[in-house]
Amino acid sequence: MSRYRRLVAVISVVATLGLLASLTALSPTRASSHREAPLISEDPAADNTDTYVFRSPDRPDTVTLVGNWIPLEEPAGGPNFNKFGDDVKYTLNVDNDGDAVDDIVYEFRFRTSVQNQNTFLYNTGPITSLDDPDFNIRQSYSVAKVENGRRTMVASGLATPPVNIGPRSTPDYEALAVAAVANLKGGGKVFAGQRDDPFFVDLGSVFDLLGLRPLNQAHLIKRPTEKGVDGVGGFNTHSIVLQVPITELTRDHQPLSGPTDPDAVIGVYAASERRQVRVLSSKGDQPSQYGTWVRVSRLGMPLVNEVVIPLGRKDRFNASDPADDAQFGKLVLDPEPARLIPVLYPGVTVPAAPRNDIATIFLTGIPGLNQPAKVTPSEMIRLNMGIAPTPFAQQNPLGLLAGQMDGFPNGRRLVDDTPDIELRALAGGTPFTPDFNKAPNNILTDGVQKNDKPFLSSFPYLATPHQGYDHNHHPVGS
Amino acid sequence: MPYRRISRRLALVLGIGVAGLAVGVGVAAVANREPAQSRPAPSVQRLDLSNFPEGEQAPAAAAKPVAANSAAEAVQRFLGANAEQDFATSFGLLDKASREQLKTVATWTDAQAERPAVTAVAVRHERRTGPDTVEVTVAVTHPPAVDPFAGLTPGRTVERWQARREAGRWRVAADPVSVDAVLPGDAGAPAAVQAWVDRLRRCDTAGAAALQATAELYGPAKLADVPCRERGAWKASATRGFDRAGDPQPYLSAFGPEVQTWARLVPVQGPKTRFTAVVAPLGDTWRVLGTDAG
Repeated sequence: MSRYRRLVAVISVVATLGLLASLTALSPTRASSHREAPLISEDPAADNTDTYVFRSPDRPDTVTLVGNWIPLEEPAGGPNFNKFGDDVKYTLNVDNDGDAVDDIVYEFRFRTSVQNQNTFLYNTGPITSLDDPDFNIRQSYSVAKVENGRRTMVASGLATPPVNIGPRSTPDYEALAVAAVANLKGGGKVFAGQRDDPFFVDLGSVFDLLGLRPLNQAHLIKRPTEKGVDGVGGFNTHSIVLQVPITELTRDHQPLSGPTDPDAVIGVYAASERRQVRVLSSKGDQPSQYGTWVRVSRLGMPLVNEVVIPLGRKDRFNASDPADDAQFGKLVLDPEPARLIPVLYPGVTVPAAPRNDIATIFLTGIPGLNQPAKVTPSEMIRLNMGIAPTPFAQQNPLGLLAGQMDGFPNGRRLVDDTPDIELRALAGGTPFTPDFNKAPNNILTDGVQKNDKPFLSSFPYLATPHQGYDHNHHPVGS
Repeated sequence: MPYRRISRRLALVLGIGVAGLAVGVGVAAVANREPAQSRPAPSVQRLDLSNFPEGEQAPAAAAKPVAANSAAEAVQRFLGANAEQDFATSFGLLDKASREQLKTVATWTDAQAERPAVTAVAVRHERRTGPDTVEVTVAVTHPPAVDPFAGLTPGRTVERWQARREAGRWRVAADPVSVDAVLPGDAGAPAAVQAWVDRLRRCDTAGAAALQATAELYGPAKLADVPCRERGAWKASATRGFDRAGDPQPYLSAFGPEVQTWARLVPVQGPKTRFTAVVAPLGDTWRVLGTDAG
């Protein structure tokens, strides 16, 4: 290539970057743990994909915790549609004093019952209610709460809705989902079942050497510029949504005086456990399971295990306790994606390690906002419950970066565009690192700015799941 | 290509590039300019987090000193403190090895969820097992329960705990040497099932539910509905071991393999239908946990 052509190419890239900068900045953008580690990627029923925690916008005296399992769930996955694992213990874990040890754990166990074993059908006719005789494969669940070393049963025999099959089988799906919302003593609510996967990210491009389609021309290996593609679009997940009064989560169970109340900040993560030993049957019977429960998946802050923890330690991360996260601290202080950005996007510079800014966001919470008074660094979503929620319709996907103090990384709302926020944070495009808080670092985007389906303004908030009969997956170029 | 033509084209391209960049950055700057109060001010520039220890072992917390003049007293106080949810005291009574493993009162407290709550403790006897170790046998009572999280919590257990003298004080190991559940005799199970099926026969589902271990029955759906429909005599017969269950899977999934040690089967014969009731020991009585088609 002649010097002239190279010059033209460089100028073109710069011009394109500038133009894209304007485009991405004009449209406020709104990523996680799908198949993030070798072992758990082979165990979808126990694979925690995302965790959310936010003060409920429509019931501000409560906090909503969401855990999602089963990554990239195909809506048309019959006849044996996805379901929660009967042999998995699902948990939502809360640390309310910053020591990285669970203070409150909500536990969930599921149970499948088949009404008619003499058919291959999930349903033998339209399902019009949760006790419809045609609803063949049902799941119910129990909820327990562990606090101060004691487990108490919260509820049992709660029904989950069927999966959203199609117009013949589940003609009024929303009604079935509403019927599956259970009220709990003390003012809480709980729901468990299939929902649309609320996560949005260009999975296809991001895992193609950290490609960002809108910035394809700035990548080391250039491609034509494209709009972002929601790689999770058209897929479902299985969600556990729990809403509890704030007073149930505070250390002293008293109402908060405000954001500066010493009990205002909680750390939250979701996890799943399996029994230690599984023995397969040579007769086709269900496997036998033995031993104590061991953790096989955990997730608080999105994308930490996915892109910060290296392959050789991902499974260990999933099995470990947050209290032992010091072992991963150096990885967060010098995160691999931040080192890759200048290599894959020549000309972009990022702050040098140690990245205290990233450790603050991912491990301790931000002082004065969501850092507990005494904190043990650990991977959790930290929420200051004293900060009032932004009305649902006004929530900005850029969360705290857009000035919404109740947005990610202070908790995580469904609308929060965590891939873009974290991308910018990794590039130093936040107020923590003023020298790097400029374009393109603070406007990086995967080009996916919102979920493929609108969220609900009230409990359970996650969108109705995609129907098996009629759904689309992330059309490229749309 | 003539030099002047190249220069003109270069200037044109440069001009377009600079203009594009200027427009882009300018528009981005304007678009990113939030109202002054809405963009959060930097609340931190640098944190001193550069000294993360590489290992995961944190030092064990200093134990609150708790006096115990004998092995029996140590075990009694240890379990008594747990009964009162005073885990700081029981942590203070742990032996050195246990404290080093558990590290903090918080992790010790957290671990208690996997142990049955204690309501009362009575020391049965002591046995010296070494120069500074004594095994203490205690009778312990618990709030009886059956649930899919802890499995069976027996109403009564006989437990052996090891106490060790360390620096002149008696201390207790975190885990018991053995725990034996005291279960009601198998002979009582048929009567419990008969009472349950009699209520079902009268279509008194609420009354039958009061004789169940859990609100929801395990096993094949609808079997418990049959006695209400099938008029005539229903009779529960002699207790069998759980190993004879036709389909143990629902019980194994819910309660783990331990269910095989505490659940029993009681066959129920109706005028036309026969099924098996699965029973669980709830305290000193048997309650129906579910059904089995076998």
